[in-house]
Amino acid sequence: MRCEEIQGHLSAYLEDEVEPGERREIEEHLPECARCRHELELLRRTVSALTSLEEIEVPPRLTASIQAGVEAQGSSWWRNLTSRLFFPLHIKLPLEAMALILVALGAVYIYRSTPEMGQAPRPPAVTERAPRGRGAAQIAGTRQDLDKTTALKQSAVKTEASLDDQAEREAFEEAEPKALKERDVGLRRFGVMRKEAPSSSNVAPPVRELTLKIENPSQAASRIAEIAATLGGKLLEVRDNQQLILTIPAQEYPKFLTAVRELGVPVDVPGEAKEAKPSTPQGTLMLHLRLVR
Amino acid sequence: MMLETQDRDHELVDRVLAGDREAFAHLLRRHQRTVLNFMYRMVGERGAAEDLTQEVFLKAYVSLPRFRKEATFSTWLFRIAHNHCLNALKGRGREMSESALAKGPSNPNRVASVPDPSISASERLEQRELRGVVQEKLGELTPDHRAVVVLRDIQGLSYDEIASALDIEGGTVRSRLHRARMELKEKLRTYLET
Repeated sequence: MRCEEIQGHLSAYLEDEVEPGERREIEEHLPECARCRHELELLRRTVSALTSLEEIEVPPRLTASIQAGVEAQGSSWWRNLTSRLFFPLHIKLPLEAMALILVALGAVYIYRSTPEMGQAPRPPAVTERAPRGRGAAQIAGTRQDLDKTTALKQSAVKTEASLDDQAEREAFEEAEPKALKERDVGLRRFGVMRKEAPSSSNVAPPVRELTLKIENPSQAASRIAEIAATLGGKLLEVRDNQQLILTIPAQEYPKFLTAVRELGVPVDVPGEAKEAKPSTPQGTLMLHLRLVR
Repeated sequence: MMLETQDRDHELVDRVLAGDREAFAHLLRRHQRTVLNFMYRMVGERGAAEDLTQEVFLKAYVSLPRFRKEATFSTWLFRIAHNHCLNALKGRGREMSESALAKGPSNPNRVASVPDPSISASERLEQRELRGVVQEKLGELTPDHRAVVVLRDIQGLSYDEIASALDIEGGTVRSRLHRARMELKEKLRTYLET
């Protein structure tokens, strides 16, 4: 090896960290090369100077200061808990995911257990059926009616939530079915009806349309009114002695059909088999009866 | 002996994690001198070294749950100390590394070595001057080179321990140590040849 290579191994040679072959070459070279011997001596003195550096003592105040700092870090259990919670990623991530799922489940639970949230303001979903022989102005008027009734319902819901007084609440419960009933009559009048979820007793009653072939429609109207009254119902409107709008208790619908058959022949009786059974026995059924010859 | 030390450290660590703060006081007393001296040789100024030592132990205390016992506690502590020291030198310590280190050791509380009766007073004066110069020249090395020299030639760590403490390969330790010693030898040449 040349001097440059020898000197490149001197540091390791000092600590006996060279391969046996390298050691042999170095030890063969050194007796013959004064320069490399001198460099080795300087290196030995350098290391010696480093190892001879005196250590400094730890002042007692430093120990006390560190211990005070540790005390200030808080209790050990809390430090362990926070450290384990917030530092290791394999614990932190599942915890965050679980928290997210809990929040989502909580939101769904609150939504389902609060019916008012399902009635939040939304654009009125209407099914328009263009009435024969009626103009666009009437459709526009119907839309206005629809907006009014939607606003009425929203207002009613809002009002219900704000009522604390028992008397006010009772008044509200009486007024609401009436208002909704009027709404449906108005809608049916112009052949426009909102699609609704299955009704309950305190919302709009289900509507049945019925066509009755009859010899004398003008005389039948009063008889039908009597039948409805007998069954606990009420005739709401008669138009041109050809269209009747009336209500009867839902459970009386089969009896109503039987009685009406004595007057004429029902055509396309809707839901005679199964829909005649109301979802709530105490509910009210609204009938739109068309009389034809 | 080393295994006994390691077992004792790990036992103390377990006790600290179980809530025994006195166990941390034991760990502190066992290692504070080593850390303080490492910091002192790295930054060259006693006050700064004490501040950094305090910060290192507080950081170690907070990080103790993450100590996996794959290395010895002292090696783990050196790794924290080395990283903390490098950050300090990069940030606030740029002027510290260049001015404080250049001034040489400011060490009023330095341990008074027992005078060797075989050497004269003039020789002792030369030795003291030489130590000051060594510290000064040590401060002129890059922090990476300085750390290897301090850990090997002053602290006496093995190559493996240095590799673990500095998170580098063993071969890197060897080459870095060689270059650092050769550089320091050149810086001290005029003092060493007299």
